Amino acid sequence: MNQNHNEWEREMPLEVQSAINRVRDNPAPSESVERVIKVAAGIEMTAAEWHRGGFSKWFWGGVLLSLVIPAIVAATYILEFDSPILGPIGAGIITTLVFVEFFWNWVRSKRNAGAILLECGSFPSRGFFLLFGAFYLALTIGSIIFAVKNVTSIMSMEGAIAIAWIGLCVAILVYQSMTIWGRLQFRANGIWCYVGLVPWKQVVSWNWTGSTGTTLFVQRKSRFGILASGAVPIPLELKAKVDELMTTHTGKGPLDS
Amino acid sequence: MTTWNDIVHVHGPPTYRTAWRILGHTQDCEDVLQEAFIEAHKMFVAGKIGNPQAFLNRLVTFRALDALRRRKTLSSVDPSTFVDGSLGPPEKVIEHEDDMRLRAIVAELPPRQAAVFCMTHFEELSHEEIADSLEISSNAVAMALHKARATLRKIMFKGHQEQER
Repeated sequence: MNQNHNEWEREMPLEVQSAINRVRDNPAPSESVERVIKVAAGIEMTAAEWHRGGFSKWFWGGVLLSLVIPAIVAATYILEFDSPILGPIGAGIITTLVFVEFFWNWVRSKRNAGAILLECGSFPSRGFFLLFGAFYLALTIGSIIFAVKNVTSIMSMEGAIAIAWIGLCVAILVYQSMTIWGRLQFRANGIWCYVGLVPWKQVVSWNWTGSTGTTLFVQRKSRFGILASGAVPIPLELKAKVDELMTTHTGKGPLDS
Repeated sequence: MTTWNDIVHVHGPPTYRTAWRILGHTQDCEDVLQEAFIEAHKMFVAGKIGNPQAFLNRLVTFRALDALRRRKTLSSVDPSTFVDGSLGPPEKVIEHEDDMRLRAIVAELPPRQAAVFCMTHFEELSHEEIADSLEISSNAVAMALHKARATLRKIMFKGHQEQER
């Protein structure tokens, strides 16, 4: 050790000298060191997973479009539909199928979500969805009235279009309603994000983002990259509690993207 | 070429020791190290880390001192303090309080002076090594150390005289 350091330390009161020696010589707890090394080594892997998440979002979006568009074109040829009516029929069928899957998932998730640990309130843009909900309710009712008055047979082309259109309106209306009454809740088995559950074991990484640092960004494991990440606003007063729940249940601390 | 894994495994343990000496509390050390490694990883990805040990040393020293300043109380005793069992808990608590008081006084110094003091007296680094870590000249290191020691001498002797009275 440098002579100069020793001289300075020797001038100090005895308890100060002892404190400096103890601080210098006290060995670091090996278990804690190992934990830190493990987490630090995992940063690269997790960051790579974040990049993969970003990539897969585009990839799966592309796959979905590349399947849907040829399917609609093929249906046009097979069923000999005229192109102007293809839009409403295609959109109606696809939206209804997506909605059925979504609704089934909602029921299943709701059943498996477990007890509510923390309630974080309703969707922040609820008023916007209420407005849309009212619009789609009026549109659905109007469409049904129009169809009843004008469509002579449901087996006709007009009937098919009317059913597809009403299916589309009802699907969107139900989805809007679920969003309007959806809540953000931290549950025993995952995060209930207004309309669906993100199970704890599927959380790959999470972080606080946004200008106020109160937006919770979650990266999850998902077969569909488009669903692999999402952000939810957390009330400032609940941030510490959410941080604690996320750390406890995912076994991971917040990760800076 | 140095990989992230090399940086973590080679420089991680000494970096932890740096934080441990400044903070003396496992949970605080883990928090500081996690933040520091995340920041270091960003810099590593951007190819901005020339000397990993110096970089991590600087980052962790400043972060640990920040955490020390934020700490509101000296009373939280880390259970790992009692692991060796050579002294009974009362003596250990008194020693722990002395150590924490020393750390709190160091944290009151201006950031550069505090960092230089910790690197000199806790880490036993030379002026040149400290200058490399902090990216300042050796003269600046000497100057900061001189000021830090003068301030600490004043505070500690004052406290010591008050205790004796």
